[in-house]
Amino acid sequence: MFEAGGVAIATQALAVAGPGGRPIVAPVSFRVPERSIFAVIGPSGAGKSTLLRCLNRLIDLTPALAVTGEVQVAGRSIYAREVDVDALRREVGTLFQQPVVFPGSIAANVAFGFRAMGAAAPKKAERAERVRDALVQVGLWAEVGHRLDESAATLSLGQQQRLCLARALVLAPRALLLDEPTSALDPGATERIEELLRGLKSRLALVLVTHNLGQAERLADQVAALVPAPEGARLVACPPAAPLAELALQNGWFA
Amino acid sequence: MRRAVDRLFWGFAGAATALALLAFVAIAGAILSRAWPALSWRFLTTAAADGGASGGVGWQLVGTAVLVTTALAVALPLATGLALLVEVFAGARTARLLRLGLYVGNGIPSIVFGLFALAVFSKALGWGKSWLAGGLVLGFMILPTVTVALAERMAAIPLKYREAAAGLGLGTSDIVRAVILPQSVGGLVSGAMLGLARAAGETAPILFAAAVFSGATWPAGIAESPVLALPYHIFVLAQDSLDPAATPRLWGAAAVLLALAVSVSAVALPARLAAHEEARRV
Repeated sequence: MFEAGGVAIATQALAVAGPGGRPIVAPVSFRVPERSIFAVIGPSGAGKSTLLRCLNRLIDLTPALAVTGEVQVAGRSIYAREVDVDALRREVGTLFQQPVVFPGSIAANVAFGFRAMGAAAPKKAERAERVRDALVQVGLWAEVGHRLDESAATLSLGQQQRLCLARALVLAPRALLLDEPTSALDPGATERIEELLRGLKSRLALVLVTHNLGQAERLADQVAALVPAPEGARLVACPPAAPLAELALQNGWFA
Repeated sequence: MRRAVDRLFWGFAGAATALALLAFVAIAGAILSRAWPALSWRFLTTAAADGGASGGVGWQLVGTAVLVTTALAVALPLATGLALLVEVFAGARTARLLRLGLYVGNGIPSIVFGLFALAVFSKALGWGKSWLAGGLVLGFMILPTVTVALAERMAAIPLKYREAAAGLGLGTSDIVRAVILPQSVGGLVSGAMLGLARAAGETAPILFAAAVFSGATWPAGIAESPVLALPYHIFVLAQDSLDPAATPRLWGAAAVLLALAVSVSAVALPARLAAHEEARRV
């Protein structure tokens, strides 16, 4: 169905229906090349987060929603019966709108994902090295490296969001799903996250859901709008370098 | 008009609270004033003698502790499993049925548990009167209380923690170990304390199958190995004792039981309030 070469995530006729078969997302097809940012814009309630959650099967946590169609990560169908869903979610990480830190230390939070890896989890020394490495990547090491045993709840909201990013990166993902990752942050913290995402693009595929049209313009290589419709939200590709605010206004996407 | 209605509701709530407090203070006052002559350290540590007319409630306290510890040992693991089934593993329909079952179970009269213990442990298994029968049946009796407290705590854990853990590749059993159980400890403590307070005070479940009035100390073995227990001691003294010297000791035993139940419930209060506070914030 797809050529896998250079494509990190691809969907074919991916659709989501709610209880009673009510269409939420109409069949959509798109490709996210490796080392690129694919942004999805659209009004609240259009189904952007729902669509995003289909890409690493977090949608499975909402049994009332039915997913049809195909999603491939690195050429492998992720809805196939034999897929290890937990391994898939380490491979395709998620950053949520609100930073979610677990009760516990900063170090324990970054290493949280190792808990599921059993015998494959890194040993103590390697674990510490990878935690450090992840914190360096998100620019937090200088701020928290000397107090890793302190509660993660003591960090500012922006720091917590970077901690969550480090927690996903420590698992060496192939792609990241970003669900409005800066909507709860102040402009300074938003800028830091955007800088990090720009840097991460050199080695990861990123799917960014955002309300912030400027952010989509600044970061994304491809932008698509998810537009609500009675038959389920449609995904409309935006022309490269098009002024998004103008496009949205012309097409009434946020009306 | 609205202010008048507000005042009416405020007045009703205040009056109800005052009445409830007054009733508790009256009960506690009535018990303590009558118990006062009997209460001493000696009363807590010596064995009862002369059919309860002299001595203390030392072995009754030991027996009650044995029964309650056994009940908790039974109820805590079962309640943890049940609460996880209700809140994590069961489908919506099964969870609803289980919740209904738990609430119904909470309302089963304690004498029914006593009869169950008599039929199953005493007669069918041939244990006669046994501390284990009492502990087991008290464990079954408090199981719904403990489970509901624990399940309420689990339900109050914000969904975002489960989602974030799942997003890091943690499977359901990992999420239970890493997220749900550590954050449910308050519910377990709260449920255990409420169950403990109830188990310590019940007479009916241990009436036929576990407790005797005198002649027992430490349990030895299982069959025909009864214990003394505070509620049973009070029950027998109140019903059968004709000796006036036993009266202050009867009230003394009641005061000890009351203090036990109140202090145990008070220990559970902070954990319970914390769970409610969190549920309200999310």
